[in-house]
Amino acid sequence: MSENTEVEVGATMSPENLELLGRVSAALGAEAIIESAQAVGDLVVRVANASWREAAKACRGALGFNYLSFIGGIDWMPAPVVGGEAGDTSSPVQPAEQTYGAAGSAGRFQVFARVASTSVPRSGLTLKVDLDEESPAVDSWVSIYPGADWHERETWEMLGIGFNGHPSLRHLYLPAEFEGNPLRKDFPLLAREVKPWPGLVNVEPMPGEDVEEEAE
Amino acid sequence: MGNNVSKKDAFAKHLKGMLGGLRVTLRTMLKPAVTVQYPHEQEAPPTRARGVIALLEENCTVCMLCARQCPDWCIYIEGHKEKRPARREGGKDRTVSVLDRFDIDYALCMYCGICVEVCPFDALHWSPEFEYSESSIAHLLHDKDKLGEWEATVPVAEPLEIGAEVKGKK
Amino acid sequence: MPKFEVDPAVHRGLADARLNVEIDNGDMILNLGPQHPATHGTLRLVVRLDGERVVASDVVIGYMHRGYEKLTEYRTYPQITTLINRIDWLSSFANEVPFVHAAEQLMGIEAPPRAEYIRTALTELSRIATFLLFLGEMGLQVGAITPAFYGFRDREYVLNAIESATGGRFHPNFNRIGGLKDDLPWGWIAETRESMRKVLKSCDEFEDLVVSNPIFQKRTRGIGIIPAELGASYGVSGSNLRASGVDWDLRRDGKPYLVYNDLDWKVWTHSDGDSFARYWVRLQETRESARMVLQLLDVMPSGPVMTKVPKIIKVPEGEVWVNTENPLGEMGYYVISKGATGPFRVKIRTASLSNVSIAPWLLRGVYLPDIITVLASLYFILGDIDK
Ligand code: SF4
Ligand code: SF4
Repeated sequence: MSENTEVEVGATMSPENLELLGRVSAALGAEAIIESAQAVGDLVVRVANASWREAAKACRGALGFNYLSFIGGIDWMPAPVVGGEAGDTSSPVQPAEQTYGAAGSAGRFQVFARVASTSVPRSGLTLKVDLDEESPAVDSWVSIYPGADWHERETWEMLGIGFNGHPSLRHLYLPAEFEGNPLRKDFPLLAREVKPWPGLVNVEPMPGEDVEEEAE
Repeated sequence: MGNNVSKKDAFAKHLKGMLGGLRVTLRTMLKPAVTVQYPHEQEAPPTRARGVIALLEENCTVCMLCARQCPDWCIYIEGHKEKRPARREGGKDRTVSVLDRFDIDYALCMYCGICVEVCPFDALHWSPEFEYSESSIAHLLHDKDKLGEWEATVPVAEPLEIGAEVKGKK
Repeated sequence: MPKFEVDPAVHRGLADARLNVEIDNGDMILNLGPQHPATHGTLRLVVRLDGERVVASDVVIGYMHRGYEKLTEYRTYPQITTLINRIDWLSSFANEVPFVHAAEQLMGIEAPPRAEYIRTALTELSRIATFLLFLGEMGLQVGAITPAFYGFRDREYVLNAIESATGGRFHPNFNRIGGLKDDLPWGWIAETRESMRKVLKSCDEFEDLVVSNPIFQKRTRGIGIIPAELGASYGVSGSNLRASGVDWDLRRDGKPYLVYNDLDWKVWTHSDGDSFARYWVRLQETRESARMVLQLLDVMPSGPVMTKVPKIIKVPEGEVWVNTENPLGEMGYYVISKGATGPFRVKIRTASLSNVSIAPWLLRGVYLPDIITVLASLYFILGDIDK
């Protein structure tokens, strides 16, 4: 998070990633990079919202990342605990406070993307960008990486994140009448709510008299 | 195909390609068929095949682990506690848990095997039996008697391949 | 009422789901799918035709969307491995590997060498199974029925090998975080070696039967050409990109994973980029995989197949991107963990989604009957597109 200053992160970065980070900041301008980190060997760079399209241009151009792996979104809000009456659900319990992953985040929503080069082995870069929490939106990458089209449509319908300049932002997977953004953490997974968890059934009543009671 | 390839050469090449294919089909035609006429002939599935889950009721202690770990929530268990006489002469009476209900809904089950693996008391086993299709989806809910019947079809575990670690006593 | 919202400016007079053909402005709108035998499932293709040529097309997907990214947030790590092998159901084992690796990398553990060897062998087996089906089915799409039967027949040998080791023909769920569920059964190595010989032989048959067939060549050569640079920017990966001359295979060029570096193998490319090249590359890769499996079986180390892992698996906080070369292309998982028993967010990058996203571009200008062969040569699995 914000304590993770550049110096501290840089100290733990591998030489290849430091070198790549140098090239990224040379191509993008140091002020566009808010934070950078290394996530299990991979360089993660968080760029300013205004520089998102510039970042793509730099990637495809100066940095030689000609291949778009994916674009996705993250909702960092902790999911509301469901089925709380018994305090026990089968789904994993995530920490209740909102924390951010590698390279941090300014708020709830982030868009992240991965690019790579098909000519340099073991190359690749993960980019993240912060979004406004009220009306999350960022520039579209379609004009730079045509493959961004479907990924951005998916992110738009799943997380409600707008992409400025996208040629036709419409539903990709979901029917047109669908309302809501399923991948947002506050969107409940109905399959887990319409049915009681079978693991909750009280199996073992007290021995002795209670057994007869239970048998009735 | 460039202009320098004459019509005759192209024809010869096409003919060769065609004949090569015909040779393959002809060779295959002379071999015995590989298909199995299923309901009349049967092929035994491998020992490890995950066909159906069998329940050994005596071993089950109603610990609920399987029902809790099941990703599809398709195991339904109910049970109660009972007093049983002590195993040894003069010992205290034991309290055991007895199953009232143990259902697996095979319409939901995705045959992952998590329940079989997590069971700490070796009460669930895989059987390669697969012929239990039903015309109604509701009949795919197997109760504990039906799950118990599958127990007879559970194969003995096969030996492992050369180089496998010999499991010590746990 | 159209079920899917389509931008009217882009596709004026788009065919209604109930109507198959509709005339508009002299152009014909043809609706293929979602239930069409050539679309391998429920892919809907809306093409605008001028005569017999495609002017524009749109791919409508999502009929099989199962929301895996959401489902993973409600499951624990062991439960997810069984879920994700349903993404690309033809090569399920290969789907599990990157996810298990992601969890292992975050936990800082490594599977024992024997487990890595078996994983590699099974991954290559699932690649062979996937490709054999393609090699047969591609013949079917140009009108030859025989190769399809051969493809299914030979795939059966491979599926039997997968099943006798893992217990599942299609959904092995054999990977565990830290290793494998079990060791191989007795006699598996000898049987698999035999099956690989059969596969190598059937590759020669496909060469004779399909590749050298003049009709097949006429239907596929020079059709559906993907330019390398454009393909990469669309995210096309795997054999599709290698058929365009891009020498890029994550087994060799990605972060090292499994034991590919210990094997003697080669990456095949073709410079044409057309449907034929994609078929040819996959045929060579099937052979290469069979050879790889044979090598693996010869040098399989002995030892345990599982490291020590805690009974309740909690993955430490962190995030990791793991991508592997799956039969259909680059498959990757971006796993974000917050230290719980399940991941906080899993971004699933599937190969087919990006591979098919180039279809509207690729189909522009092709003749109507070639739509089918071009689509088939891209080789996608609906589950892999729809997630
Ligand atoms: S095999 Fe079926 S019943 Fe058992 S845990 Fe998996 S889904 Fe549940
Ligand atoms: S885990 Fe085993 S012992 Fe526990 S309830 Fe399930 S079957 Fe019975």
